[in-house]
Amino acid sequence: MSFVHLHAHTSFSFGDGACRIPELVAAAAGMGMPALAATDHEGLYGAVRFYQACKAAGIKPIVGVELTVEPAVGADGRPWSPGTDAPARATDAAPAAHPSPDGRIRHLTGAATMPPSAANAAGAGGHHLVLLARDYKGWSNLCRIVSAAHLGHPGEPPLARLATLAEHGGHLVALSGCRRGEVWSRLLAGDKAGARVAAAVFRDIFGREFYVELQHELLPDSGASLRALDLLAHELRLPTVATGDVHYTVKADAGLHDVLAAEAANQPLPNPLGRKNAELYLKSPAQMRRLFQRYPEAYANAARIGARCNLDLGLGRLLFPAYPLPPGETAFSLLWKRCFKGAAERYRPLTAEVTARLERELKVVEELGFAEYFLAVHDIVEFARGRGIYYSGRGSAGNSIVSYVLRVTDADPIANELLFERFLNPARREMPDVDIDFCSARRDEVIQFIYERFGHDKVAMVATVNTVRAPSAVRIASRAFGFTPDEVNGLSKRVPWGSAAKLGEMLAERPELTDHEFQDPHYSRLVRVAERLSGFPAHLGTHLGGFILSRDPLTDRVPLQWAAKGVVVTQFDKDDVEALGLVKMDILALKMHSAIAEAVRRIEARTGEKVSAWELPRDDPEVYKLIRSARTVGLFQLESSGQRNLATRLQERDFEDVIAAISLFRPGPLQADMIAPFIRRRHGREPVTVPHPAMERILRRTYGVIVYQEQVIEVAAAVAGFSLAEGDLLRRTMTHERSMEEMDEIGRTFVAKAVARGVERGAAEEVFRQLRGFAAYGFNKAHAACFAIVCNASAWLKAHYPAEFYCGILNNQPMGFYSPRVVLNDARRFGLAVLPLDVNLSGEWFEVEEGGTALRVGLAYVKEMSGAARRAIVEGRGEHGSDHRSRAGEGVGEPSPVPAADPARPYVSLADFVGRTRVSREITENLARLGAFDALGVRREELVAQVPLLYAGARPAGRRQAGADQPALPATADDGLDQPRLALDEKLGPLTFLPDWPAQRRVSIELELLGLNVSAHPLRFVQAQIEALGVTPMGRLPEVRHGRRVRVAGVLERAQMPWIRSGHRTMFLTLEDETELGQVVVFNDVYLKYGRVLKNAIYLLVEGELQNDEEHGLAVVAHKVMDLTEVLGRSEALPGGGRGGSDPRGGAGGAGGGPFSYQRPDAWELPAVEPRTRPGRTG
Amino acid sequence: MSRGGATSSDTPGPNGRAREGRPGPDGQAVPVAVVWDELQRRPVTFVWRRRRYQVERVLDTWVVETGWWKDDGHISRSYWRVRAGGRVVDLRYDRIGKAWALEKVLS
Repeated sequence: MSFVHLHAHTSFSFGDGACRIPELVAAAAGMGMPALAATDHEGLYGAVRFYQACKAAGIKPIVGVELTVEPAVGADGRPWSPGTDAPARATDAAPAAHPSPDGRIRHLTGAATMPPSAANAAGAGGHHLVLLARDYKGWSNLCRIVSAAHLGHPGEPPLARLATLAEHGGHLVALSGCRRGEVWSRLLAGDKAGARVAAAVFRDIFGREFYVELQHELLPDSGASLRALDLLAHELRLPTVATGDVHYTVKADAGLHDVLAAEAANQPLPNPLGRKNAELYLKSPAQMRRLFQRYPEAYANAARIGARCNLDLGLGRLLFPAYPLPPGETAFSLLWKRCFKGAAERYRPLTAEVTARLERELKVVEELGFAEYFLAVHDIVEFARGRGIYYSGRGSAGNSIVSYVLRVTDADPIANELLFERFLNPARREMPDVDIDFCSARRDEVIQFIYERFGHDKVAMVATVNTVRAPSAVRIASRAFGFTPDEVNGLSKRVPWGSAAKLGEMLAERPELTDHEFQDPHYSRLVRVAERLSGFPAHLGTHLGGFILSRDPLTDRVPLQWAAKGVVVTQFDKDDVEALGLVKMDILALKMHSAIAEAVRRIEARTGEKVSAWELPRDDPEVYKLIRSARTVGLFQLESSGQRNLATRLQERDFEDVIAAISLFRPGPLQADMIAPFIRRRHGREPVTVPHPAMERILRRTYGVIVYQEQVIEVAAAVAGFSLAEGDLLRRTMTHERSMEEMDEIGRTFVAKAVARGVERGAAEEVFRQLRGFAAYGFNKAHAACFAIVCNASAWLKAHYPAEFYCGILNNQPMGFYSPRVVLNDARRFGLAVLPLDVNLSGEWFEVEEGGTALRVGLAYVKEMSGAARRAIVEGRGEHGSDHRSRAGEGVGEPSPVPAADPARPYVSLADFVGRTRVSREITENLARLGAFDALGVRREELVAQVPLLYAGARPAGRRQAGADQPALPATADDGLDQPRLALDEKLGPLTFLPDWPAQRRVSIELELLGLNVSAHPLRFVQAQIEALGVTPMGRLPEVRHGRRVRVAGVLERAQMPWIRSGHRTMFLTLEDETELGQVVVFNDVYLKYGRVLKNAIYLLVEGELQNDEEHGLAVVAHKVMDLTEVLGRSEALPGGGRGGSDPRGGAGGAGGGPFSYQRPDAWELPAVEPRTRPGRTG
Repeated sequence: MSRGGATSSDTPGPNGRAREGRPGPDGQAVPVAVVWDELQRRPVTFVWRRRRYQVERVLDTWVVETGWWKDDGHISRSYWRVRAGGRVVDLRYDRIGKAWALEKVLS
């Protein structure tokens, strides 16, 4: 008889399992095992992918879990019994979970990163028990038990209650577990009676499905343990089963398991779980038979149990949410009514084309059974619209007129020639993909509505599995090897974010790593371990916006647990929940919506004009003039250096051009080199030709170039007679990687169908060649069209109300491609005045002043400034605070933000300010250093000297004692409010002997404390020297002829290294000088030569050849890259120009790291798309 | 069967029998020569103090594997607790040094 492993931990045991699922399953199949179980700690995290892998390998998946269960034997030795505990329901709502500051799911920081054994040792008070699902009912019970174990213990390691096991123990097989199981652990402790009682409790709960587990770990006490367990089972007439307690697939991976366990326990090696050997690998049936030769029944029982477990997860079916319907309606009838009502509002007049298309789409929706889903989505967007919460649908849903008339999306699918079949293909019943971006400041309101509308027990967020990448692999391995935290930081900080498996390759190839410590052979073992950690699940996160809605209580189908912010998440990621058939919808947060909402509200407050952002004209010449000028910083989707370069070449003139620009600057089109021919044809320098006349209409808007996926579908239909649904299938088929033979076969079918319709063979072959070339790279036009609407709104606002627009952008950071520093400099270049921080004039956030021609720096940007402190400052002047971010978009027309132009009770002195606000010394000092008190008539140099005296003897914030004399202000530990000593006041007298700070020191302080340069651009102080070097200002580059050799200098703002067509590494730098942003292209040979400079320098001097034509746009191709600070030889002249960690401010003081808090070029491997988020600044 | 390990030159105690505990003079394991049965994967005889012992029964077996991350601390050993010549002893095989030793005399 063969053997079945019933106890195995995959990498989803998070720190106590080193089996990669594909490798584990392949090994078991290779050994001829008919089935295999996965029993990860405390969850079913890997269950779906394990199930799929087993099915693919042809062996039977057995899904289980090793849970920590409350003791079956009380401290008094008495057994647990059903009457001693109220049954715990799986859906019992626990009190709100405490958010985890690092965003990880709480239990993982509490239990999985601290292994269950350690959790037990720390007093978690539980023992291990293995549960296996015999069938789908067993699976449901596993989900309920696991969910209850997690949800019932927010912020704590999960713990299953025996009452829950008793209630949901059906259709499960229970094994007594490892030496941390209650039976074995009591035997090890010499408590034979307790072991017997515990086993009896489990026998009472699970009946004949409870087995005493025998493990031969080949440890010194293994033989004695086996004999004791077998004897106990014999005395209680319980069956035994042999298991391997597998923790790694092959013996060679035992070290990997040691490292993962060390990381989980936050301890260096040796293995903190006390494992003394490498015997927990997947042993063959022959090895298991030999180990258990004295226990043949236990050996045989493993296969018998395996034969009785037959779980069918029913992958592939769809489980839609139930929609509460009014009497007399079906989901379809209600959807029909809503759609036609919406169509009458959207289309005036309503045409036959519209109604015909709507009817056709609704017919497919009904056939596929998606009506309830669309009703649910409609409810959500209607809620948002009713509350004035900005949102926009995107993705392939934009191809549907149903989405458009329900106001899920805003791009008219008829006017934009969008195809429904790209969204829902009647030939494929698959999950609709609806993504909606909501104003990030108000998304929580939408989420709350979803829970209330569809039921807290039927809604959950989707998890993400964050895997180990190169830097984290280095950190894990070096911590395990016992390096100090400083050493760990030193080793990992320069390792690029990429696959850990390529660490050796990076060390060999990356110029910035040539002097890395890992080049020393002494580190070779550590590097090898780090490489092998590649791809391991590190922890679970929460999906940015993925929700699942279920018809039944979710715990019937998926395991749930708490995540940060107190939300409930599934233990599965989006692919897993989709495989299980649960409907997911993406409720995403978009900062641009918050920025637009704020701008709109400010415009109305200042001018009275009500701007309807989504109804703006799409043919405003000012918008396209702005885009063509490439002055697009802050614009949605069009602000990256690549898009700005494209704008100079494409010269967008209408909305269709914007859709094309968004679609073309993507990795796929870049890889396929689609941009150059598009632009040549766009400007009439290349004839527009198509291989078949039927393509003329389809490709007329893209000059005969296939840019969109929708065009591939239409061409297949027009040339070869495919239906649109078949055309979409063809597109999908060609999108996936195919062998040459498979693609040739598809081509033969296509050509034969086209020829049968009378198309000339050569033309048919040429059409297919073009489809084949572009199908994989084409972009979804509907997605781009939806983005283009948001882009149009942002461009319109910048063109007509730049002050409000920049305010919106600056007050909703982090967002977009650039740092706030660059955004503010861009505002200045755009003609706006930038007014300094002023305790009497600055609001909490950036404000518009001087009739829309100036921006005033807001208090929120000041380092150490808390919300309570900035409110205290504003309210201390007799004004009301205004948190624009939290109110962004809230009901246009509501009370406007309070401009801080005319304070009722202005501060008259530093002492007056401190006395009325009682903010902390750090905040006061930072404000003084920044010149926020300059208008009070005392030099900042003197005020900074006075601050310590003013606070002498003050009690630090957070250590105040509550009492009647305490201020009626928030008094949390981190609110930044202080209790200054008020005996001293402004009579400290003049300190005129203190010298004025030089201008560059003031800029350094601004960079350090605001992350902005307010008074001057940093390069202004070396302008003469730069000019002497023959540097051309960025703003003058458009006037320089193509091909000329130039020198440019600037602050390195961004560095990107996307994949490009040739396959060679190319880096795109964004440099900024006082006049403009500029793009520098660094090809592989130059990168290899100057990689270290690129990685380390803040200010760059670049020598190269200027590209300045339609083919290339405006960019400098670098020949030589230099550190400007080194070239000038005087780092003190450049704010923040010192080498890493040095302080160029000459001891000016101040906390924090380097003075330069702009976005460091950390995105070495990012694709060339515009990321909408990035790490926040430190100020 | 194969033969492995080294033969000890240790001399027996005054009564011809070793004391319980570590067999070496400093409480260390002593090298022994072992005859190994590959089919049954167990030692069948060993030679200690110039005397050949027949392994009557394997009572337990275990493995120690640790220290792999250290430059000079890697330990990889298999152990057999056997009854031989009326005594219970622990034999060990060092996989790195490829050598047998008598680790402990239990009775």
